Amino acid sequence: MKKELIQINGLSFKYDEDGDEVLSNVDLTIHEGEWVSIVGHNGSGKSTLAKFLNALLIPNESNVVLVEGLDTVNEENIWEVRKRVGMVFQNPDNQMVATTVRDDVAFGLENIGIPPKEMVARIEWALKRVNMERYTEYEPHRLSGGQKQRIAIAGILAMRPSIIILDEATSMLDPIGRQEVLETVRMLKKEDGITVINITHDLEEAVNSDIVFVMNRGNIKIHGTPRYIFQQTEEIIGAGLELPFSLEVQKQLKSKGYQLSNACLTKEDLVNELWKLRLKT
Amino acid sequence: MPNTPFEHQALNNINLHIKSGQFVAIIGHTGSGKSTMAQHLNGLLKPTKGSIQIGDFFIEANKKNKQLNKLRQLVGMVFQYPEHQLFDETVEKDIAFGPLNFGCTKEEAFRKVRDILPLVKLDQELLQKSPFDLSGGQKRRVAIAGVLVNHPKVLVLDEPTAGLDPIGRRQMMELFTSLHKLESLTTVLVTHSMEFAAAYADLVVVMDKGSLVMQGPPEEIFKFPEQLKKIGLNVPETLQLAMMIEESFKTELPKNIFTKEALVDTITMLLKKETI
Ligand SMILES: Nc1ncnc2c1ncn2[C@@H]1O[C@H](COP(=O)(O)OP(=O)(O)OP(=O)(O)O)[C@@H](O)[C@H]1O
Ligand SMILES: Nc1ncnc2c1ncn2[C@@H]1O[C@H](COP(=O)(O)OP(=O)(O)OP(=O)(O)O)[C@@H](O)[C@H]1O
Ligand SMILES: [Mg+2]
Ligand SMILES: [Mg+2]
Repeated sequence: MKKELIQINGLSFKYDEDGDEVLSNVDLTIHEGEWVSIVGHNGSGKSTLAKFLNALLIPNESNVVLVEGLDTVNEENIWEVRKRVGMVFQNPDNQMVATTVRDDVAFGLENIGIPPKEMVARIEWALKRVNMERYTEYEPHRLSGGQKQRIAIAGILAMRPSIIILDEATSMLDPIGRQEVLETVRMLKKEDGITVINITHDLEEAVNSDIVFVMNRGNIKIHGTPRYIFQQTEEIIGAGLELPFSLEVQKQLKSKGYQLSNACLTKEDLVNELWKLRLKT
Repeated sequence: MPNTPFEHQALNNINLHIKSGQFVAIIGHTGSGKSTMAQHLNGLLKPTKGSIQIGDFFIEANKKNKQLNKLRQLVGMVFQYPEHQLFDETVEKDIAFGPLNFGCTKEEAFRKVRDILPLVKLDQELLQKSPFDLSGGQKRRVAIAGVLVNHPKVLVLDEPTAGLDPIGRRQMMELFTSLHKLESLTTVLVTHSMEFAAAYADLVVVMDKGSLVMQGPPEEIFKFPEQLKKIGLNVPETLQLAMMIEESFKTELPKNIFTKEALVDTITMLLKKETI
């Protein structure tokens, strides 16, 4: 059994005293080294949940949010939790603090007490990882939307956290850029064994993960492998989602009388199944 | 910003002609100049060289623009990040800002707000909230509502579906295309979705490092997967799958498969042919 890294037990939360519950009785376990996707409709509570995972929001009771065994309710743990959990925010502007790209990446490193010499090396390494090494002297606020996202990602990579949360962190990247950035994170996962929590509306990204959690109105309705999750069509549609590309094509083929034997999560699956169908006929 | 230490040319010698009523998609890698170009279309940015004409309006380098307010009534712009567009204390006031500014009474303006909500699938309950206390996708819907409520004749949409959930993304594109037809709009869509560019646009414009490198109908542009990949782009998923089938089945398929329906039709035809 893999080590349990993050545990949430019965977490409920409202922003306003007299408002509705934004999270209601959420339970969740994430294991070390997993690539987890969190999907769900707009306003379902994904970003709010993420803020509990790096102690930006704190539960009222003990034993509700545990990160690597640290209970975030204890103030003395908060610092350590934030050091271990790096979060790339949904809007990179919320993360930009300095007047140059270099200082922006440095800011996070200073905060966790990295010595200057190592800082220089880490900044260079992280900016290279996201293909932004030519922009060290630029003003972050004068970058394009996607360039800002790359800087925000570099800032977190440089801190080398053991858990990375990406909150729609690649939504403004071009198709190849998105592949490259995710590939970089995948490599870090493989090399350093980090755990990745990817909040995304991109179903193809969700297909490429170990576990998918589906949020619906502040609740985690179902979770499991992508293969399991994306066959729960009703739950998926109910949560504001759609079927991934290949499954949708498969479904439409079925309605035309062509039944494929296995669920096709990827284009490769689909081509293989079509090939089998051809051999049968 | 010419002649400052930060001088940097974001766009270079762009020549583009958009016909009234066209649906244009602008695609290009991160930092290729799409948003810069989009912001020239409603006078937010002025060219350092050259000129732009939109309907009867001229925007020229080194000249003052007198009628920017009128231009902005004509051209509605949805920004890449909704946070750059939202500003008022409540969602209701934020969406009502345009109508009030363009001369509606308070009652009219608030009625327009209420009429627009179901189109962008926003809950009435959110009206009295601060737009900054919303989820990312909810902010996006408010920003779009604030533009559509003014009934612009030209819609400039900079990544308007980023942050929307999958069903929301599809519904929003359907809303844009139906408005485009019903109200005879001219629409400019900046997007990283090759699928949307292929399925909705009459004209696709490809940017690379500040230059316009290709323009044409989708079937012309997406003929060149290798060139597109070199500049950070790709072909739509439907075409990617069709190309995989071509290779595995050693066959040739049409090059303009831009919707799932067209793809499914092509596959069923292929399977029928094989079984004869
Ligand atoms: N700062 C805030 N103050 C008050 N309410 C908030 C705040 N942030 C979010 N909310 C509300 O909490 C609910 C959940 O928001 P959250 O941002 O967690 O959703 P999300 O799943 O991340 O959505 P999206 O996909 O749109 O980013 C929404 O109804 C939203 O309006
Ligand atoms: N406010 C600004 N001041 C100076 N330079 C800028 C500013 N905004 C963008 N740039 C630069 O201009 C170039 C084009 O940026 P633009 O925002 O138009 O790109 P884009 O194609 O929209 O990219 P993305 O897909 O990432 O949004 C980039 O190199 C960027 O760094
Ligand atoms: Mg969110
Ligand atoms: Mg842009």
